[in-house]
Amino acid sequence: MAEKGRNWNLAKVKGPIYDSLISKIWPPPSIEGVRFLYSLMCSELLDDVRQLAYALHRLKKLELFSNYFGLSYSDDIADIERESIEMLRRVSRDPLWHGKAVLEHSLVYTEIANRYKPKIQGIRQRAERLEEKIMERLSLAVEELATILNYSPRAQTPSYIFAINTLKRVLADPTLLTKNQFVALFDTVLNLLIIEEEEVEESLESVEKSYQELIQKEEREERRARLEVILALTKKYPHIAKYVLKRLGELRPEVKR
Amino acid sequence: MSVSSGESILREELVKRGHTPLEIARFIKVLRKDGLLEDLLNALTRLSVVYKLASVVDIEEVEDIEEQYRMLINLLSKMCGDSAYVRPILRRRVNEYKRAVSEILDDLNESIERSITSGLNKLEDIRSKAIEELAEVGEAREVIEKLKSIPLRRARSLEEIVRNVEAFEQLLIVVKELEKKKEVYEKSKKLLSTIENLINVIEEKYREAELVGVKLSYIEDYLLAARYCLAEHASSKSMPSLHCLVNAEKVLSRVLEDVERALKYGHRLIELKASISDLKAECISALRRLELDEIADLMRFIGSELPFLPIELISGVEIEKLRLFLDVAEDLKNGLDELRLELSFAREVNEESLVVKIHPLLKSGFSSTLVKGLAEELRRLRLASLGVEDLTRLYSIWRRTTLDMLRKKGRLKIDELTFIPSSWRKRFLEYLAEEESILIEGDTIILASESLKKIMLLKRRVEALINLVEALSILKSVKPSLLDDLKRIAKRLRLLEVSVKLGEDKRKELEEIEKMLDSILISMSAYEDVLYETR
Repeated sequence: MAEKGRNWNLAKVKGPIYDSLISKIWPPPSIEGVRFLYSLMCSELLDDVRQLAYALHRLKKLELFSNYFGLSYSDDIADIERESIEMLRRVSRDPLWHGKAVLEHSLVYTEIANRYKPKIQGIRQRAERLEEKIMERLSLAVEELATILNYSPRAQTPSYIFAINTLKRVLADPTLLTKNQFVALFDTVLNLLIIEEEEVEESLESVEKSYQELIQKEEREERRARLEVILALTKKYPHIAKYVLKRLGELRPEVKR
Repeated sequence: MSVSSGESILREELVKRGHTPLEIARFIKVLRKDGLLEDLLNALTRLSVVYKLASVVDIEEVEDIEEQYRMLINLLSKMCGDSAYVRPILRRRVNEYKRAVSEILDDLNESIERSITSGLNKLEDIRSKAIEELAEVGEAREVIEKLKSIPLRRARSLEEIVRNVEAFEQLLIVVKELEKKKEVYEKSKKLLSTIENLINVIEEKYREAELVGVKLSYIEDYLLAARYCLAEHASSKSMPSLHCLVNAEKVLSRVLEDVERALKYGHRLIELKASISDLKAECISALRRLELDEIADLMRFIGSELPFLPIELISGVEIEKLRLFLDVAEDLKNGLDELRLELSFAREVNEESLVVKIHPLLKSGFSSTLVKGLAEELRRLRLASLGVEDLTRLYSIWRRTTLDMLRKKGRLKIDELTFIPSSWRKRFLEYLAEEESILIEGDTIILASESLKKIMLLKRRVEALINLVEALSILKSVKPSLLDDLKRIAKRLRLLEVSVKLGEDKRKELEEIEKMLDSILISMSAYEDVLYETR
């Protein structure tokens, strides 16, 4: 057995496939997960699973960024993650693995690949579609945040412009941004929004009322998304409510049935 | 299969050529009477042995034999139908036919003899080769013994030759299967060794990439699977799946290409970042000299769009993104280089035009007129904390690697620290020397024990004092014994320095030297202003 006499030190493995998927099925120190990882390599599924793990990793990063804008995709992402783990569990339990002579393995591996490649790719495509959706919402959110904050007297300060522009720039490809970098950037924007706190509740209520009024009338997909993003931002940062009301007022004449 | 009888072969051939059984029986009778039959039947019997051998090995002579056999059968058929030969009264052409049959038979017998010898030799060769090839295959032991027991060239009769060839043929089937297995074993052995090499090279490059601040975590999955592959086959006695090994080799070769690419980009990126950092420092100092402090503060934020090292890449796709940053870094470096040149010669700079030049380097997208006051505001915000240098972030990993290298080799050339950008090496070694027992002599780093470090430092101090005292003696009157004492200390330190290991007595001597030096220094208090420099 491969595990004999070898310290695999699995708790320290940071490879995204093992760390985020396989260890969820066989937590370390079980060697089963490593054996399965090797089977994936033999059946040429490893690259597909890697792409899936990468898509999931991007989604999780976007999940963190979205939270900062008051948006939540946690359920959708958790669904995809659960489905990915379940798919790998199914691959590992396929009866084809059992009772075959070693010389027949190449046929088994090819058959396993044919059976599961499209399914794994299907989940990855779902993950990518969700990523596209989140990215669209995130850019809408940054755009709206910038527009809303323009009503603030602080909006004309160069540091605010510097920060918001940097935020826009990095969100063009957020996957390379570390959590700390993102948080630091976002905090920069937020620190500029220290707005007087009085009448927060009232303003939030007014925003919700205005939102309901507009969303009922608005039929265009993109505009509805924009309104949803505005509401999410306000719920997350109630201090900006009075500027949000101005923004909604600006959108009101443009609403279309 | 037994040896076919020559008579049955003869009868069969003549029947094929349209002779009746009666004609054939009469012909055989005549042949016997003429003394031809025995030789003829003997040759035909031996011929069947040749064909048996030829079914197992290639025998070149078989073509000649077939030609001669065809000629013989044609002649016999002609004789069988020729009344001048078979009719007892006529028999005019007997001698002519007898001569012709004898001639062909002589040639045929000679060819048969050669063929049997050649066939048996070839079987012998096959046997030796198989025994040699399968010598290390455990499963082949029984087959080898059986092969060895067949007396190929020692057969006494034709029947025995045929029996041996048939047994050999059966064993050959098993041998071929074993050879096929051996081929798979050898291929897998070769592949396993290639995989092991690939793992080692990838691990090495992976660690090297980490040193330049690029962590390729996704490669850990591939390495884990490949290590399992090695361990599995090293411990298993069953036949490895070639399919898996070929796949693993293919995948790892691709991974190696990735890691090499990442390493190349990582090296370039850190070099560029080091240059950018150095250029920024030069520009900042020039700006301060020109009393443009506000713009100098702003310079710190240049390059904030570049990834901070170490960076973690969890997909091969991200390696390409890294390459895109190289272009950005290259532009920044060139822009800063131009600015540095301009500032280094400037006595006075127009602030407005300077802001216009710095503005694109900040890549902030806001109007250049808004730059004023920006640095002050940014400093208050957390964004400013992003400006921590890569050197600080990578210091711990560089420290660990340098110390590992030093422990292995004892000493290192500074140039060997290729993973650290050249302009940062000096600063890195200064930090390291503060924390660790290392000594830097010229371009060499030495891992020193605490005592050796102390000796070296004392030696340097004493040498500096000697130089000072020599210089002082020109200007002032200095006690002559002072210089002699210092020279004696220097000599004792040199002797201590060459001691491989400091024992208790040597350590005491070192303490004594330290005390002596302290008392010399006290006696030199008259020259305090000079001594201050040497402390």
